[in-house]
Amino acid sequence: MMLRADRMAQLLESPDNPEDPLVIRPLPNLGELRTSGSASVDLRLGCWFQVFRESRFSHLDVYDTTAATPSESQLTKHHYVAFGERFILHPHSFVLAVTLEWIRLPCNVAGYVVGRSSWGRHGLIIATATGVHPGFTGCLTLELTNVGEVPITIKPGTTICQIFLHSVQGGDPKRVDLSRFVGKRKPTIGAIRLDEVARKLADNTL
Amino acid sequence: MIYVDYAKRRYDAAIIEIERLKESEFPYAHIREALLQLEDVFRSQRIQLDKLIAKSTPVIAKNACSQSLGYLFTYTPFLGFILRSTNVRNAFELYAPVMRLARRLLGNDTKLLLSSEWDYSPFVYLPTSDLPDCVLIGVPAFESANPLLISLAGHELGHNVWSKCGLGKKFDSQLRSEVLRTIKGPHWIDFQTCFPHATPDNLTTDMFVQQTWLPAHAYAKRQLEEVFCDMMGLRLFAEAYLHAFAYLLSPCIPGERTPLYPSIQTRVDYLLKGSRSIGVSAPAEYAELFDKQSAPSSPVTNLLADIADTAVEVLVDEVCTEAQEIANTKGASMRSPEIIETVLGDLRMVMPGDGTASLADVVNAGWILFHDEDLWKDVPQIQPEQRMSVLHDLILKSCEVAEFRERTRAS
Repeated sequence: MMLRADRMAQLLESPDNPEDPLVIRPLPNLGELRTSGSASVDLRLGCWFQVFRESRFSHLDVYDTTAATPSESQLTKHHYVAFGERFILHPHSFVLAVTLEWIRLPCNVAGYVVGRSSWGRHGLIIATATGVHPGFTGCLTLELTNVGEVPITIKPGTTICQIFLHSVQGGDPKRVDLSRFVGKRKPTIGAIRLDEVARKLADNTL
Repeated sequence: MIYVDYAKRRYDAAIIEIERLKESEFPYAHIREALLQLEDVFRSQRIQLDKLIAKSTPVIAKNACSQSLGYLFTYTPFLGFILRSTNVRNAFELYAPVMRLARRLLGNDTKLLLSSEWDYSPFVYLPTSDLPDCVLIGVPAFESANPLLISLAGHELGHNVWSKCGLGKKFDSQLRSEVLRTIKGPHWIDFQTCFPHATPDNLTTDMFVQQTWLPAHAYAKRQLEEVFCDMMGLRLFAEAYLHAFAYLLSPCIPGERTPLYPSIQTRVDYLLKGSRSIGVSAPAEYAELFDKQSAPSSPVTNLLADIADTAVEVLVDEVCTEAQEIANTKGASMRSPEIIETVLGDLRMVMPGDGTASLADVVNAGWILFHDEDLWKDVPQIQPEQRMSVLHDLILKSCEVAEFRERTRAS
């Protein structure tokens, strides 16, 4: 079941389970949340960005098990943009960013992050419904792409995306996502991991 | 006069490098401003060299070139410092709270340059006339992402406070008297053995004899400044300062002690004394973390260091009080055990502080968790090897949330 914004405000103010609360920091404006009538809470752009070092590697091939996996710092470079400074996203470029907010989801809540349509209509696309699992804690990595034709200036602190929260039913309420991205303040690319089935299907020997 | 040509080329190369540095991504405006100020210094030196026209005598030209070389020696490390301040390994989130603290202590015109050093010891460049109001604080490069060590900035800010408040001058005559009293008292036999021409009467009247003990006075001045800076660090960051001090310096740096600092064990004794006076709870058996340093191998240096040590000891209480009074007068907050408890609760639940705690509160909470062996054992998402990086991120995020609150509150 999707949570309305006023319910989110209620959970942020006085969690059902104080030992496993829903947390968003910096705290959104609870007064606005209570009266917004929406089903999401806006999230702001953080100060860290991560761009790919395109000249460092020829291509990405997760199936090539013989090649050494390049490290995150070989593949990408972080940039810090302080409050008040700007980052310019040029047409057709892709950058990882991060939410300003640190999110902590209790074990019975999951979420989806989507862009704000006002930015989308200007060409700024923010990921595709990134799922956030119960028990996640950290800042959310955002995938920003400018699909428009004009460069777009963005500044940390701008509301750039929104998170929809859902209550999670069933299962062991204490079982949480063991994601590698937990507890980070910077964007991170992580690794693409092939499961056993994908590895078998990728093998061309009969 | 080829040396004039060499000097010009040296400056041309430096100015080209400054032009390159100007294209860096500066996380904060003060760093770029400092670079532009240095550029002015370099360009004006270069213009001076151009004025060395053919009619200058070799003596004048050599003097001018030598002076310009001095500027290069002085300011080249500053350029390196500025370059390293842009490196993304730095914990940029610490900049705003440290700058606010620096401005509280030193005035609203203060500009902060926070960077990393390829020198192990945290370092402060004292203000120069060419970079007025600039405070430059560096931490070891590989620790520059570690927010727990920012409490050592309290010591480095202490140097700027010492300079700005003219404390060197304030304590100078007292220190001089103590040095002389020490020489004439407990160290007289050793002193006369080293300097047979010295008598109690000619110590201050004979200019040659004066040269024998003046180094002890100089050592004592430096030592007293370092003690003051330790007290300032202790007052500003409390227990977190003690932990960071031990993290960086325990058990001791090998080799002979330098007479410019009290020996590590003496420093620790003073820190414990200051802790009692300021109301800081030192960790149990803190002194046991440190070892005795070797005395200077030169008997004369050893004697002069001993004299300085004895003279400084007399003034320790006074500089401790001075550090407290300055911090109190300037309204620098002391860490609050209640707020630390609140931050601890947040961090234990893997969420940053809500932005109401001071930097000292957050860092103190961080140190408590650093020493907590059970930290997040019941949080399966965090692997043991990730704990420190998660803790660092939470501390830094807490600082950023506080900055968000500060900026949005003001508007």
